[in-house]
Amino acid sequence: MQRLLYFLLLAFPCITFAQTDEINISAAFSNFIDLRIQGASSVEWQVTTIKQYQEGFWPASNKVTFQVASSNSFSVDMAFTPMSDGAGNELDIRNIVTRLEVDRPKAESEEGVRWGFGSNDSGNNGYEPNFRVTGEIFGSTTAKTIIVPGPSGNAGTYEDNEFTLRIGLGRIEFLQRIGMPSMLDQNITPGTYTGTITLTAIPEAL
Amino acid sequence: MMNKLLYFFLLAFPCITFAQTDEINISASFAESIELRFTTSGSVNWTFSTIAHYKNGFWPAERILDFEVSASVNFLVQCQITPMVNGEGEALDMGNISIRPGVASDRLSQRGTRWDWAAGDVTAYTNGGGVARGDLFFGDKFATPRTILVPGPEGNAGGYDINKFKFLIGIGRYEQTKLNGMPRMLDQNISPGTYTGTVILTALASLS
Repeated sequence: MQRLLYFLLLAFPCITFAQTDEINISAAFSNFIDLRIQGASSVEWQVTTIKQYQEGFWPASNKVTFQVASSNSFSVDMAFTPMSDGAGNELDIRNIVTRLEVDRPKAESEEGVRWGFGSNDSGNNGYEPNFRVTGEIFGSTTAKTIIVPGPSGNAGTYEDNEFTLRIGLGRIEFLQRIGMPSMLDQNITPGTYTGTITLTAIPEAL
Repeated sequence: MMNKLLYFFLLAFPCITFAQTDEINISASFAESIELRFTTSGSVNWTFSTIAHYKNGFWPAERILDFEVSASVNFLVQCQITPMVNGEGEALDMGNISIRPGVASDRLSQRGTRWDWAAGDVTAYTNGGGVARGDLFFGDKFATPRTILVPGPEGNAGGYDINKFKFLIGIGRYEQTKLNGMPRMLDQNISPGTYTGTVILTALASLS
């Protein structure tokens, strides 16, 4: 009996068992995109002299900087509301001209972003070789796509995608391009005209 | 069941796309801006030195006052002539002064402006040649500011280049001053001396 007991004690460690279990893992990537305006988001002009009526404004200070952070390539649309004085008068929105400037374009040398100019706008419809934008975009209540991704894509952080809009009013050299008279000849009813520019960042379709 | 629902959301969520917007507020304030300037240089002078001058007066072509207006809004122009007095304080009868709208600008022919020259006279659009047809008027009617130009149906806001006007001014031109009931200057016993005055033009925003 004692021998049988020793046998069992010695033999038991030699018996093996296979034990399994599982852990499920998953990674969910939501599409993140955010557009934000940095600093002041208001632009104002005061037209008081004949010279200003004739030549318009293009002050260097009338700039708005915005940034886009996006996990996917994106485009940016810009649309204007009508500018009205609250008394039934409207300012022709084409008096507002914006010029795009790139502060820190995504992958500058990789053609990450290009500008989208409309047919009535001046400037290139492709990449700016040195990313100094030379064209202007006229105000429109119809949304215009002003930024589109280049072949390298433009997904990135706020710091990667920082842009500046320089906004002018009634600049005669731009108005003449589209056959508009100066503000002086538009017989604008005195008053304060207000409106809104809406920037919308849209992710590329997945 | 709860696990399946959770997996569904985890898988489906990446396909939901969002468009993110932000806004820029813009405002433009327009104040009325009107400027008027004479383009006739210096002053207008008459020198009476002959009997013919005293009898017939002057209406030389060079006695034309040119002015132009630049305005962001429709405008009217008023004219006032101060009394012409000599160094002794004696005044020349302003009825001796006769004024007539002269050559008009394109803006007139475009019906952007009309002369509002004489009381009740609304006929002063220019003809095709750009010549105003405003009636003769007399200086004594300008003792206080009097409206001489008003916007036409097309409005007259605009720059100097399109709002150019002129009128002729004469003194003692008897064929005209007699219409004002004036005798010849020769018969007015005018004290010798230099009589000076000022023509004041003022551009104002039109409220109509």
